[in-house]
Amino acid sequence: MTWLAQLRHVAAKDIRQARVLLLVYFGVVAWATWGACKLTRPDKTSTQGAMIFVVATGLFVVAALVQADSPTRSDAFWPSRPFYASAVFAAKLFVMGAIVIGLPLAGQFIALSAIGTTPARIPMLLLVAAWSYALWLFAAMIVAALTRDLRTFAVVFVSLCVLLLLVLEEWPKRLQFSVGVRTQEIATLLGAIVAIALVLTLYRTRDMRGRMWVAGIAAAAAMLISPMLPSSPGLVPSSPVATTEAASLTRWATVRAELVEGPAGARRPWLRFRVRAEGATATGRFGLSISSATVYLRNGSTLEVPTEEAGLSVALAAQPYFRSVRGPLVSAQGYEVDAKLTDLQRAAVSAGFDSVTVEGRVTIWNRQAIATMPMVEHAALGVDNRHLEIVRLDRSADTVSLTMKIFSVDRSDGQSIGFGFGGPDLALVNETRDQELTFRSGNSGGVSGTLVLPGNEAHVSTAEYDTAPLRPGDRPFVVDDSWISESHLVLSKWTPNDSYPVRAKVIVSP
Amino acid sequence: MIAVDVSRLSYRYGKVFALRDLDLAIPEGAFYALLGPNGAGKTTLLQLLMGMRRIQQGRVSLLGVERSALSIREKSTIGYIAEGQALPKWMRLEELERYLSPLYPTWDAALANDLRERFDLDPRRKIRTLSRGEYMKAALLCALAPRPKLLLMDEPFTGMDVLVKDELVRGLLDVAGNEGWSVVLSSHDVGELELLADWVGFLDAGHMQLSEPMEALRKRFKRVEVVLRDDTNRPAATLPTEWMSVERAGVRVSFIAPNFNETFVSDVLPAHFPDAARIEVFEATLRDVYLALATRERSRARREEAA
Amino acid sequence: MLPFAVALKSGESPYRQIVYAATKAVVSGELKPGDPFPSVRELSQALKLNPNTCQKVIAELVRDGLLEVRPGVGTVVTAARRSSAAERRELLSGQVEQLLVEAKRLGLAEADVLNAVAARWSHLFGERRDASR
Repeated sequence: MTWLAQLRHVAAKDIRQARVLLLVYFGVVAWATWGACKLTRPDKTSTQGAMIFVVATGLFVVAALVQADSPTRSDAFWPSRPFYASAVFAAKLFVMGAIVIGLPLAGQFIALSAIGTTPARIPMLLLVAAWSYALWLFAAMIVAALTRDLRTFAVVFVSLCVLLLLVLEEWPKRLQFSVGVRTQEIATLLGAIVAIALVLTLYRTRDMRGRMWVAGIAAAAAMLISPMLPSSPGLVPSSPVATTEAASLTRWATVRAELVEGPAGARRPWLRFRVRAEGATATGRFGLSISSATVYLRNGSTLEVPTEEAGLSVALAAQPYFRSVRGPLVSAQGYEVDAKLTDLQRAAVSAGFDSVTVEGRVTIWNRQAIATMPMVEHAALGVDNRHLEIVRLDRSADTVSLTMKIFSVDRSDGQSIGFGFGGPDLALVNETRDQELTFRSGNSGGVSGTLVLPGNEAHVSTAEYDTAPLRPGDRPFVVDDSWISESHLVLSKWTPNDSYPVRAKVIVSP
Repeated sequence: MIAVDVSRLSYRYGKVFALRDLDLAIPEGAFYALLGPNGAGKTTLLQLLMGMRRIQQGRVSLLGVERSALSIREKSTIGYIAEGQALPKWMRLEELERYLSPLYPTWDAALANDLRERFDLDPRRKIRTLSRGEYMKAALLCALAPRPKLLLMDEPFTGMDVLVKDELVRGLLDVAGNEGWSVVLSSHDVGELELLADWVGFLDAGHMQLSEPMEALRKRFKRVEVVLRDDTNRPAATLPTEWMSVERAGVRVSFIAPNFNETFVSDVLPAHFPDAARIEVFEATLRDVYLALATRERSRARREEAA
Repeated sequence: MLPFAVALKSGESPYRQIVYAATKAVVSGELKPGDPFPSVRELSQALKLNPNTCQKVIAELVRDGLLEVRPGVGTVVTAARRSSAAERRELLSGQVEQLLVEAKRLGLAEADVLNAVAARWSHLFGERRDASR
């Protein structure tokens, strides 16, 4: 029998042997696919569970396949027959690829298509899904080759996973290393090659020495680590579709600071300031972070105290601190900063001071328009690998509100960034009249999860937007039907561009 | 042609040597009985011959070809049965035959049918449901149907009931013996092999203590019984060390001589027992020889340990 | 079943035992000239004996002239083979020796042995034999 004929022969035998298990697997995959196709429905809460079942069943199928002709059991039947050992192994790989990966891959394709993924993206997503799954299966293949029966396999495999999870919990705390995505990819590819070579060696030499065990477990661990590692967010900046405004801002912010609470009579030993940066426009905003306050004491000396942000716990680095409002932007309320005083400092300050300044940095955020959409219900847009759709549009005399559905399918290794759950910034721009209405984002929520296979993560979220209600005399223009018909929705993203140090004198109300 | 040629084969499990510098040559057409106590290394040796274990040290040639250089076609002329070998339990016998037959260019379906009838096996039964005897019959069927040139059997009859053993032996004899195949059969039960084998080897302590044709063994191993004229104690030290299983009781002395020839009766025996009343020489059974060899090996091992 | 009596004892070369038994059967007339002799296969199956050994047995018997191979028929007992009394006595020599050794051991004399033989013979075959013949 030729090598190829033997491969077919053994593969056919394996399929016959595992037919019940394969039928169950088919059922699980079908169920997962059906569930995944419904992801875009509003009532869907989570899809994570199905993928786990697919993977778990797949692991078992692979283990059963390998152990049907075990390379390490001393009572194995095939070594005394005229088989090419490599053909026996290749048959297992074939069934693993064609059926164990192939079936759910077909399901994944169906699901991806059903939820409306951009067709151009699908091949890459399928590749990533197949590869992530294959890593699990390779690990199972190694452990199954080294163990006697399915029960031992299950015990060893689960123990290995648990061990790895515990190690990975501890490790990042000790060792803050971050491996580039490229390096990780190459490492897993090499690891997979090693894994296959190892099991092939086991089949050919039937070498059951201790060192093979060690090598096998190490290889299996390497396979499993990759899907278990917390995804390192590789920042792939998205390319903008269009810009409507120039990016840079030449204006400077005005920073105002007020002393809200002083040490004298204060319940707590600190100074509290309210700070804000003013002067933002439609395309430029300011982020402000205060690092310290300097008190000029009456006796001539100065006191420098570091500050902490209080009140709004906003991560300033990520977002501008004020919310968008309609019309020409007015300064927002600002936020509170505390400077904690030691007893000595408190005494000194209570004695009296001339003035206080706060020091910090202003970050300039620019708005980058990404895309435009017509302002009608069911208008849809694919941008930045996301699919956006206006599912509801309401207009009343005072406000315009809309609900946007955003969904995307990503590689789970976090290789794309997008809007997150909150949705993009929206503005209604009427270019004819050179007027703009900004939306503020309201409720948003969503669901993310895997479909049939690991490696692809689908996010479905809805975001609600509305324009703030009118204040009398606040808006110089009338938003009526004709205004709306002339306008279009601009989706934009705010990105930090530049920053400069700032010092502001604190207004102390007597 | 030498069917099995082993040269300086060593194999160890961890630190323990199962086989140590073992040499073995089995001619084509021989029915070779591989005897040895439990744990002597027979299974290891047969597994190494079949290619189921990695050769650590030494060389193995089968049917004139180095083991590692055996082509698939050549490998299909070697059959193997072992008590500890697991046939696929989920298959029916007919499925197993259908699975195996394409692998062997020389598979003889008529022979397979013949054996199946002879062994009274139902081809539709799953292997999992077969009794131990039926299981071995099925294994023998699968090993014999390809008409192998070399058949390796590891304790195939151990623990079989007499009826099944009988059927197995007859089935084996019928096919193997008549085609000039070489058979290597290992066993720790001597009785069944005395008639079957025409070559015998004794494996103990990692070596072949003995490996020769059965006829030669019979010629040179004799059981000798001497009746002395009187009770005078003859110190054992004066008796040759190669005499085995030496026993004395009163005036009777018996032993197994491994080097019997014509001069033994005329020269050797009178030299050691000048005043013997009666000397009788019997054929030594294979069991006698086996016991003598095994006992000698045990005491040698014990002496070594004590030293 | 074999057409002649043979019970293989352990410890003795089976080859010699069968040759002896077959020779005895032919010489005593139990196997008549022209009777088919079991093939190697039949011998092997009946006695669970290695076919090589069986082959040697038949070869020996053919060499001795007891059997001959007839093409198309197989191995048969040779026709018209007259065995002399001396030949036949030779067959018994082993057993005679055993009998005599045993008698000696029991302390019997030659005359006792002959009487015992005569008595047994008449008991078995009902003929009167003169011990002096």
